[in-house]
Amino acid sequence: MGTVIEQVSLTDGGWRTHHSALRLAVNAAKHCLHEAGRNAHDVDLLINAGIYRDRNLAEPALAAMIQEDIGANPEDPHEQAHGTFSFDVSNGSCGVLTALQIVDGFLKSRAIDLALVVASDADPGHGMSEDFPFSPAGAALLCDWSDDARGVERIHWINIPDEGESFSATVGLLDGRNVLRFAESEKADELFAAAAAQAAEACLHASALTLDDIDAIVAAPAHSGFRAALSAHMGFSETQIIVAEDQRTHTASLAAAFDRASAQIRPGGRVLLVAAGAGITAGAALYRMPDGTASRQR
Amino acid sequence: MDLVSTHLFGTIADTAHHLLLHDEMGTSKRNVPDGATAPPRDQPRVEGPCDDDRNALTFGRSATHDSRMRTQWLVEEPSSGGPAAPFRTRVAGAGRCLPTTRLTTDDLMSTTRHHTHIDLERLTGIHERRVSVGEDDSYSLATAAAVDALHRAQREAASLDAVISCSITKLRDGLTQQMEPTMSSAVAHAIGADQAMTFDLSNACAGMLTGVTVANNWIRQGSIERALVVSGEYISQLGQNAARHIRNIMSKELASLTLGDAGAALLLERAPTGSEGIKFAGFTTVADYSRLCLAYPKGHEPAARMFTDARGIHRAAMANTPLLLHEVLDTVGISLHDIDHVITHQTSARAIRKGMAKMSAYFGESPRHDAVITVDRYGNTASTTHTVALIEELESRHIRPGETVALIALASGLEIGIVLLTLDEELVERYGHSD
Repeated sequence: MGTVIEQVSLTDGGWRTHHSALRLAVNAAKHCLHEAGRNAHDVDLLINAGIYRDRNLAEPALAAMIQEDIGANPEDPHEQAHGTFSFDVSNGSCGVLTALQIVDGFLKSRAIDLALVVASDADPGHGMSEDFPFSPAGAALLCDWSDDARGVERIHWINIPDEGESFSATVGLLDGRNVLRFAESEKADELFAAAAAQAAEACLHASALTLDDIDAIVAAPAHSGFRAALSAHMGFSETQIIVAEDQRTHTASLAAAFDRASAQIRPGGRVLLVAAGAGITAGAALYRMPDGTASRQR
Repeated sequence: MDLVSTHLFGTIADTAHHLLLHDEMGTSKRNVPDGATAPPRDQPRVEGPCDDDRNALTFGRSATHDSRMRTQWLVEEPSSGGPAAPFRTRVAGAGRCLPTTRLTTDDLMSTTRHHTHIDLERLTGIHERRVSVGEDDSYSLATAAAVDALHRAQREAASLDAVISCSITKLRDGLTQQMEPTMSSAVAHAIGADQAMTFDLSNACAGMLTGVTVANNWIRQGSIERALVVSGEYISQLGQNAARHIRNIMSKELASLTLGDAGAALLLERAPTGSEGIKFAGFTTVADYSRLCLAYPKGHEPAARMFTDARGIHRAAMANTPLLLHEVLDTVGISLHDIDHVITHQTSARAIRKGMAKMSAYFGESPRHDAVITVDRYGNTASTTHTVALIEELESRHIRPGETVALIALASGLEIGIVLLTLDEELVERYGHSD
């Protein structure tokens, strides 16, 4: 019983989208809805987990703009109809997992029937960033509820506070301009993997399962170093750890990894969703695959 | 920081600027490939090749859900037909941190580069606001408020299951906006809540009430036991930036002059059903108005600048809030007069009074007390305003145990949210009031 990912869609940066997280998210969301045969008005909750966006926008929530652009009940409220609620969450590579936890609560309580989680990042460009490390990429996940054994189970979180030493990003004045800058430790992958392994072990322990019960680990971030370190920490074959194809995908990386997993894992198979990011924060949750999550990349 | 007053209109020049922003952030509508657009609402759902897959993936309740028509606009837990929540969320503590420096509206307006002829205090009712003069930032304000909330609740930080930071500003070490790691992880670590799950939530000035809505949902279902919803807004820099650009009353940056700094935190925890606590939480986003207020770093000025079509937002909020409040009252089964205290987002005393007058005319009755106004003393403190005002009312001994408080969020998005709650004697007594 839990949240089921009904459909996944991914977008990458074309010439018109590579500087716009908004466009990446909107394109992914529209494609996701279309592929699922759903109408945007069916979406009750829209959560954006992306971070790096057009103009480094602080307000409003980018989710509100995405809602408007996909046409999900953007009009004035009226009687005998339902609206859509949109907001942003931010938790680095763990953002999609955080959003799934929020969606799960709203679905479980029947406050909503259908949720759309989006995540996208793009270099704002135009002198507003310096050495932007991520690929322009977007993802959308359409989520609804299953009363049977499939879907997301309880998410377990681990914190190993490091004051941003492993990875940090800031926007501040540099030579009279507001610039987005990044700092990353060489040890980041190893530190993130250690945290991810702790979260994964806590998750398995709570479920009285072992790695033998898992078909694959679906992990973020997508760095090869993280994947190798996670494999070493968990004693789990690297070939069974599925990450996004593009190592430079950021907040969309868990969705991109899940998209690959849905094509590889047997229907009804069990995967472990694992994400780790700056903080250091890591989360893990078991996910029982449906009979076949639909996915397609544009 | 979204609604200033009906007197703050946009200029033609500013409107042109706004349209440019809209164009830059809104062209994706023209960017969607053929076939990727969802069918319009009044058309039947297209039966395409994906439908077999989709149907194969919809299980049990989801299939039932699809056939059930939702008739309430707000996203809210159903009053019937859904699983009964095993718990209620009680407000265990509320904390705030206000910088000690008071900046009067007269003093702020004396810093404008141009002679504006604006009587901002008369327009908004804001006499002064608290501002950090460098001693505090978003992080320190949030942390101090979190400590205050824990102290008021007499709870240990280690008992927190979740820390949700909901600020617009994430300024740390001065005027540097921290994108990663999260502000919530920093605050959690500072207060000793290292076991808590952490994430940041961003929803303009509705951030904290959105965080409350999420935490309430988890607590009611038993997913977590205790959560801290926190925000630190070091946002007065936007006012200083605006002072360099504003020329007259029509400026899109006029709303920035209303801003003040504050930290706020609400400690929410599990309580038995039937306890005093959160009775209702519902939200919607009227996204047709999502581009009416935009804030982002711009040019060579620190932090950010904010451009607001205050008239447009005000008009949209005034048009839509009564219907949504009506829906809430129907759902909960009370009348407007059953609400003892109304705390709206604090933008302008005149706008709040005018809005409440319209509400009273719509319903033919009024809440038991006049709407709470703290904007005259603290300005618009963005996502913290409701909590800052709630504590002001508690410390003034205006709120008694069991009285119904309506917190109404009106924020960029356009976000409209309503939280109804009652406070128990244990909490009210912590602020000095008892029956």
